[in-house]
Amino acid sequence: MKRRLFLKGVGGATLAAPFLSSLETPAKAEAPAAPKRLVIFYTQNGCYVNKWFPSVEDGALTAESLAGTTLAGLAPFVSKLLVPRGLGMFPRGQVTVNGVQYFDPHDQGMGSKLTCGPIDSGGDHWALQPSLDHVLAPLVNPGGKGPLVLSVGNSFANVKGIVSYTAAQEPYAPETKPANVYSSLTGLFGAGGVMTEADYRVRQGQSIIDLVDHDLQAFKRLNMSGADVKKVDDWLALLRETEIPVVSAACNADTATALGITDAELTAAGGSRGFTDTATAFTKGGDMMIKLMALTMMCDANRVIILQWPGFVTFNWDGIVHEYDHHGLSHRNGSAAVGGTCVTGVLDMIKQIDDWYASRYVKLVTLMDSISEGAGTMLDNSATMWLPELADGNAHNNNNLPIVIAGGAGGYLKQGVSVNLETGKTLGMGDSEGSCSGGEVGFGQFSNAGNVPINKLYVTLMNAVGATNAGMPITSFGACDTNKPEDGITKPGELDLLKNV
Amino acid sequence: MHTLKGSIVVAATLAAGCTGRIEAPSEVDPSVQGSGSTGSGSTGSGATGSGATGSGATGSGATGSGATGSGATGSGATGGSLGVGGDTGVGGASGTTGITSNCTPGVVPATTQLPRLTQAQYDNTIRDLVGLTTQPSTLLAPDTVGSVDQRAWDGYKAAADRVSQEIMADAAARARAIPCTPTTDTELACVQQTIATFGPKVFRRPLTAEETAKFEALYTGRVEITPTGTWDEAMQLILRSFLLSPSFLTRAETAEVPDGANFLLSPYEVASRLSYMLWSSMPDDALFAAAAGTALTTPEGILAEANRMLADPKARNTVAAFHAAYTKISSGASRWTSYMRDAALYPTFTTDMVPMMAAETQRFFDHVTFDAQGTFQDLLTSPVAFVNSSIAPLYGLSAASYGTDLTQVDLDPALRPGAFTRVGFLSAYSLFNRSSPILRGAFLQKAILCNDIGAPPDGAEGTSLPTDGLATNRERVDAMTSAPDCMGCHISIINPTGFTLENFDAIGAFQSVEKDTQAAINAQAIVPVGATEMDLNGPQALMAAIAASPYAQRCYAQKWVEFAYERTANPADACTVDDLSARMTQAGYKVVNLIADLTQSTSFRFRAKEL
Repeated sequence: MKRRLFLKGVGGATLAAPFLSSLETPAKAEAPAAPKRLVIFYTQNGCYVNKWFPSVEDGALTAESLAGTTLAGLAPFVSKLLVPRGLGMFPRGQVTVNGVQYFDPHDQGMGSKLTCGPIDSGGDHWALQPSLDHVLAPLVNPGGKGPLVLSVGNSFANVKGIVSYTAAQEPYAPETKPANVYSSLTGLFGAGGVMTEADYRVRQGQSIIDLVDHDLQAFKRLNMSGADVKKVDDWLALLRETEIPVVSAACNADTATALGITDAELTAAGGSRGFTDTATAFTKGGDMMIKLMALTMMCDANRVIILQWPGFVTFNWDGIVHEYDHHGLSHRNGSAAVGGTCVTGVLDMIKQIDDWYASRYVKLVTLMDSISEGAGTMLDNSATMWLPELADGNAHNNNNLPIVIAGGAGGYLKQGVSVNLETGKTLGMGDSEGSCSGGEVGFGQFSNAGNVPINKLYVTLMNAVGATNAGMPITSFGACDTNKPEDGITKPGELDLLKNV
Repeated sequence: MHTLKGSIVVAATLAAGCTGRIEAPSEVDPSVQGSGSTGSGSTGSGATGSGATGSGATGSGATGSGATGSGATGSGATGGSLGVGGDTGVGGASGTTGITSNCTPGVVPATTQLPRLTQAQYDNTIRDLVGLTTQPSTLLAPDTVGSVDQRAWDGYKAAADRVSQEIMADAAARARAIPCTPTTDTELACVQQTIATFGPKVFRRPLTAEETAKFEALYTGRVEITPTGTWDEAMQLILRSFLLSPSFLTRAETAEVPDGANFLLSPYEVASRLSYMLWSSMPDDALFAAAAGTALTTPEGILAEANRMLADPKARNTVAAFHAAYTKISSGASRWTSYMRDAALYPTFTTDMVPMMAAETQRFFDHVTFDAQGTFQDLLTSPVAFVNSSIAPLYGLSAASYGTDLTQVDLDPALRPGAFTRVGFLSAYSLFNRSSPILRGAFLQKAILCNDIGAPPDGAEGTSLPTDGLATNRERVDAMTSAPDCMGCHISIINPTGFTLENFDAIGAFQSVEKDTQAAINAQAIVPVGATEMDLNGPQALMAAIAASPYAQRCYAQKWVEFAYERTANPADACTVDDLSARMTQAGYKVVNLIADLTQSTSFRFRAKEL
């Protein structure tokens, strides 16, 4: 343990506002490569598709391609964007598992989106395989630890609120309290300089670990069941991993303050006792989560991060005053029922929500781009993806998905382009507008295109952030890429069209 | 692209008909709680497709009830939840037809030797250790039975940090942890005294010499391992280290004294089992003293302590947690939490009533169990109720006679026998604009009689209620459920059970006629109660039949066994259930007797040797 504390190659930080740096080239050693991360910004209930996509389906993106769309706020970063067009989630629709059919597009949109496999047709309808974040994190995280899964405000503890799974039928609940995210980072804080053995924190940590280890060793001497033996071994292994890791000197309390993470702000964002109301959770809490994500990455405490925005909320902040919740609006009639009459002005309301989420995504991207890392920024070294539960919330479709990725993961991904992955087909945007043309809820003219399996995007992203399969590139992800789970993966591999070659 | 039109009712296998077939209990984990921030459900969403969906908690109730509506994680019962909150906790599904038992005397089920404190237990333990009630469990990861993972460990570290700081900053807490105020010369002696008095309370057993030495070394080495080497810093570090120790975080059972096929638990281990079972917290000084002697080495000695502990107020929270799970008040998708009613039909209803109705029911269980020292049968038949000005009119009482606090009253035992004729249950198990014999009937059959009738097929909740030519809710419900796939469970089991309660409307008030048609309500039905079909007319007959039914009694006993032992129905516990069920048939066998008798089983004093 002691050797690892001497920080070779990771030097001090410069905190010249407004640019924060998470790495600085020390005098002699060569600049360390910045870690690469996957960040997922996850929203629910679909969007107003006609107004979401850039005007260019396949080709270079400019600010003009984004003008007038929900993505307009990303114009300053257009040269760092990648819009992968034509992707679809599988399975979807009426899928049979063990002879039983079950279909709820929200359950599927949540359960299958990051797991690329069927959900259980009975019981709680949990996903039947682990999700991308739990597969990827052990491959790229320091110590092989699991991903950081966050939610803004409380989400449902059922299949409609869970997007992360450690294994089949094992949902992974997101962390909803900013203060808890922060407190798990403070243990990594150094005093602003290089941490050496002389730091009392190191020795204190060692003493505590010694005590806890002693306690666990006493358990190990007992004749216990296999399950209990594993518990003790897992705890011992965790102790070894929580020894003070090598962290960037930029990971300290001053950086937190510079980011706007202070005790007062954490309390205003809801503290550790939960939120007083959804508005605070979404506004202050959401902003705080974004800052904490940046701090997490500056401390290299996690390289796989998900931020979930719960879908069953009624927007009443930042100038938006809605009477119906987002889910009800996405159904056009203001309720969970299907059909009926459109709420007056519902498409404008949906657009307001889309724009609001876009502004949060822009905030995340802006913050990441303001943190310099070596020759580039934290954004450049990451792939930050806005991933939706559904394309259009009324049609509940999961083809032709509205996805945007900011940052090239250290040069792996193409930048400044929209790429039509369904070569030869015109995708179109879909038609949210057609759903309310006459007051009655309809479904518009939807495209059937956009069915390149999203599995391949995930394979590309896994390779982009440096995951390997025993040293070799990842070649497949998920249980299936069609609506027949029994057929497994029919189209393995990456999306070469997205790679920067 | 997939369009959704009309109703999408998917063909799903119907759970094996209503044959009263015994189903294997599901692999649920009893220590996974609904403990968390005190969320109340936000808008639920119904199954997709059919027009009648979505009972949103905030009132978008249409004619169906949303199948999968649930709110944010609900909280375990206030205070001392033993931890089996919510649906995932109490199985109870292995109802027996003909009540044949598979009791094998002397068999003790294999249990983990390292169960971790749940969030609720953690809070209570800190409260009883040093008197702090700041709920450090909000820093902890959700309760699981698996290994400690990174998130759990981070949570333990954060909580230990915060609690140790709070102890040092609060004079009363500090005095409970550190029994001396040293001068510079007497610091070491005070450290030793602290470790000697506080350590055994934290670990819930005496410390070994090695352990004592290690904690003392935190003081003697303080210059190296604290910011400035002061007394306060050293003590805070010692406290933090205690709270991070696995011997604090787990209720470890490590004694290996063989006794036949099992290991005998040490008296300290028995003490922890007693206190966590009855108080969801650590032993008190009297229990520690009993553990130090021989009192906990015999069943009689254990029973004496159990009775003492049941008389302590801390037991009330744990028993309340059980009854909250039994009534599903605390379940993850609880119907009791928040709902709306049709203002045109129920103009006096306000959403403020909803929590009060649940509170009344919980107060009822607490009163019958402790104040009245009642029996299981009393829970189902006692006419005691608790009303305030808001809910009194629902019972036909004058609001002006009551204030805002709940006051005890006696109702008519012919109309309001027991917990399930209180407005809370009747109202929660109703729909937006009418009573629901289906919801009430299914609950009583499944949760109270442990009659496992399976789940409805997917989309069943979307079936619309026919009204043409049908003047009563009863006729309409029967018509709605007479399809071949439905009638097996509904016509002869679920519906008639609920029909006997049809004189209670959707907010639990008495009604003699239907509100829309003025048709007379008929509350007589042939109801299967356990293995017997009984001709019952109205609530008094129904509740008397259920109270007297060995099936309901066994169901209650079984659920207590699962709750108390923190495990789902286990053949090895069948003997305990048998024994308790037999006692429940005797007049005067109180609920508190049953709880105390849970400490008398073999599995309470022994643990299985590992294979």
